[in-house]
Amino acid sequence: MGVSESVSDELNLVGICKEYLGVRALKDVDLTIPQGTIHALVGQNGAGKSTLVKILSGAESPSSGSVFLEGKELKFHSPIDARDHGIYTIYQELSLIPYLSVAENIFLGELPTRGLLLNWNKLYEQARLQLANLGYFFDVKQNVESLSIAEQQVVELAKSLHRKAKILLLDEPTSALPPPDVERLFKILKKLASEGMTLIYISHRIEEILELCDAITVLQDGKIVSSLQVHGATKNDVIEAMLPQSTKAGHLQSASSELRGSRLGSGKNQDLILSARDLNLNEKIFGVNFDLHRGEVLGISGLVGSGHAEVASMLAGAVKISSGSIFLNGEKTNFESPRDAIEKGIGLLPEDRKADGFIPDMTVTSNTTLASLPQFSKYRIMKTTLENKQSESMAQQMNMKITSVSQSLKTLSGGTQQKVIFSRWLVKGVKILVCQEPTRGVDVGAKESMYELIRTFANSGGTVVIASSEISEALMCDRVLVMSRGRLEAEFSYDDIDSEGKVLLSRFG
Amino acid sequence: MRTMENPINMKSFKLLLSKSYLIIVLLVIIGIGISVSPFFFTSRNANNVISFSSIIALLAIGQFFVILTGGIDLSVGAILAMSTVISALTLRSGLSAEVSSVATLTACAFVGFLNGVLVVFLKIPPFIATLAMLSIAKGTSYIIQSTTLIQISDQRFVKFFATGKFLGVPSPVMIFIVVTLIAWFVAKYTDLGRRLYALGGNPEAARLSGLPVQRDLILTYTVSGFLAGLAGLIAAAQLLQGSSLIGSGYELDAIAAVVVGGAALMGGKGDPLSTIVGVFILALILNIMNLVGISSEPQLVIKGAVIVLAVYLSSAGGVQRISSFISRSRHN
Repeated sequence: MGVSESVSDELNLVGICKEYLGVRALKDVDLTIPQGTIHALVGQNGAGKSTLVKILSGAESPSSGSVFLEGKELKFHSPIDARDHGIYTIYQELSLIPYLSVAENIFLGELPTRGLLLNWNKLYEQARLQLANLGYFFDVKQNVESLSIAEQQVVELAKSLHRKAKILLLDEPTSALPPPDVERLFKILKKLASEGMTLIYISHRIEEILELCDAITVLQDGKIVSSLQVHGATKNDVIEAMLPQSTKAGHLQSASSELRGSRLGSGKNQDLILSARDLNLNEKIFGVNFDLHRGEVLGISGLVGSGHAEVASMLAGAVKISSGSIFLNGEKTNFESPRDAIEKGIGLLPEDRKADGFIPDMTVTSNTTLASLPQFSKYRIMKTTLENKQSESMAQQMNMKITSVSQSLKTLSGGTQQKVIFSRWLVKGVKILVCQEPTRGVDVGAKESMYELIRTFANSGGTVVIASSEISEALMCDRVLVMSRGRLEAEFSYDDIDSEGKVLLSRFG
Repeated sequence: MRTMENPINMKSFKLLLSKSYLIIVLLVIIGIGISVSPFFFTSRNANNVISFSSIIALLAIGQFFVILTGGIDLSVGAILAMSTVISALTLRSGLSAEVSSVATLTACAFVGFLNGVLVVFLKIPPFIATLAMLSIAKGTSYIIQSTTLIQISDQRFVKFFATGKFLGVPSPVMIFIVVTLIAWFVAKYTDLGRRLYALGGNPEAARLSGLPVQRDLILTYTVSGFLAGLAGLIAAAQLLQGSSLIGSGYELDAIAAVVVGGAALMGGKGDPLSTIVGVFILALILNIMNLVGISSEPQLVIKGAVIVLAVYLSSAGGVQRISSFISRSRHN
């Protein structure tokens, strides 16, 4: 690798690899981004985008490989280090301090002083100048908490400009913006690029990428699977590039059947079991209607932040609906808590397993029987032998990789933890299982066995809802609802979806 | 050259150390006590320590369950004071010992219940809610007592809670033993115990698994209030008076005992028996310092140091570091 070739103005990534405890997050990523361009980084959850962002922003160091900026190798020890080298990241959750003024936020760490005191006049004046550069003229004395999300982003941008950022990483900056603000943001970003700043833009929205970006890089399973120049490309080309590639299929093999995992449901949709009417959640979900049939596997898909996860939470009582109603077997129900939903036979496999799914210090047995304590106790005393027996039989049935049911959950792999939570609902005997991103963070083998568990559950008369942002998962469902910006965008049945899920992706918007 | 240590021996040694370290600490303290004072290992001294500990032990058991859920109860000392005042007042007004005790315990449990309501429904952090309740309970007992203190002369009351004996055991000690056994049983063998460990270990997972999280939390604070009331009855009977000044600072002793007993303030860890061992570790250290004539100010300093050391050993991975240090020095 030519390390000290001619000095270029590019950002160069050479052979970046990253492993976490033996799990490969990035492998041999080579990427060149010319100065003054906007580069889109796309890929599913767990594809390695966020790892790449972390490496570039100094939050993590690569296991091997190097980053070059303008021909010089960069080695970061911390995010501050990366900032000092001109690489600035704007995360989805903005990192501003709500109770400080706009001006203070922009100049934090380098506030202009006069002697021991702050030079407020100079501070406000410079802050106004920075905002004006971006075409904004709001009050710099007000606290950041009173700003809209769009204005807060502008403050972040002003901050990066003041720090003389050369590279700007933007992680889904439009996910919380209304359309007019998006346009205004794009204008600013284009202006910044034309002035020589290099932007790395993470998004799923095809329209945005077509409008804004110069080139696209698609990551999958930690590797770059395709890249293309946006100039002259059509929407279809972009969709094509973003589709999941079968890892084993070579490019000559048009293995459409291999791309699509085998169907999860039987397709035998019998009688109506649940209907949702005009579901609303403050500022997040707007007027969602759908039906669910016994034995069906229903997918709710969409981008991160599109609202599919919230709809799932509402079904399982984990989040209280603001307005609208859920009819269960024709009867209107109102879930005050997950407890109500569980009583009615609805269980939730939560998205964030670690935060919401299990009790880390408790044993496999205790986690398995957690939702069914009355079933395993008599006169309030736990029947531990019975519990262990049940748990052992579940562990065997699900092929859990454990040495004993008295192992604590925190010592197990993600896939096994997920199986334990699954077994909790089987033991409880729920009728409807609501899964949020059921295979997030589990390895490939465990993924397939999760699908097999869902299949078995659906075949034995259970009903499943899968809220997922993975196309490949949506492709396996009997029916798929597509959500976008909190609204139900489209509905497709299994047979109406092409084997690559283009129709789904085109509605993700 | 390093030699390979038998890994199984090392492992079981580590396990043994982490399991029994509290007992080892207790034994070491008893050993120190025996060596520094001839009075230490006498039945009279033992009686003193245990009677003195009964009150703190009851508070600590209630505190343990609150801490198990990830909360904290700062109001137990004030509830104890309130308990002494209410029992003294009701006894003076001529109520029988039984009626007075039941009324007092009900009132104290109700104050605990209010703590739970503040935490669960008003979503006030436990630290703040119970701090406010400390102030309210203390102020209330001061107002209702209206003089500096109220004497207690009801002999049946005093006998039942202080001077009497059950099966040859002083009654405060008997009460504390019974409560401890119940707490141990509840924590280890009942569905309620299981739910509380789950609630402390991961509240959101507990909620999503359909556990009655709110009800259990309120129950926990109510029990803590009830046990503080019970401790107050013993204190009132021992001191023969009711006063709002009794018990101030006891909440910190109870919290210290729970933490020395290895429970995590984050919740989900610990057990009532270890809490009791924690109570005795602190009580014995105090007792030894008294016997050798250390005055009360240096005692406070030493007590503080002991708490830091104990928590470091039990929760900051100190035991592991020490055992790995031992294994390293054996290798070299």
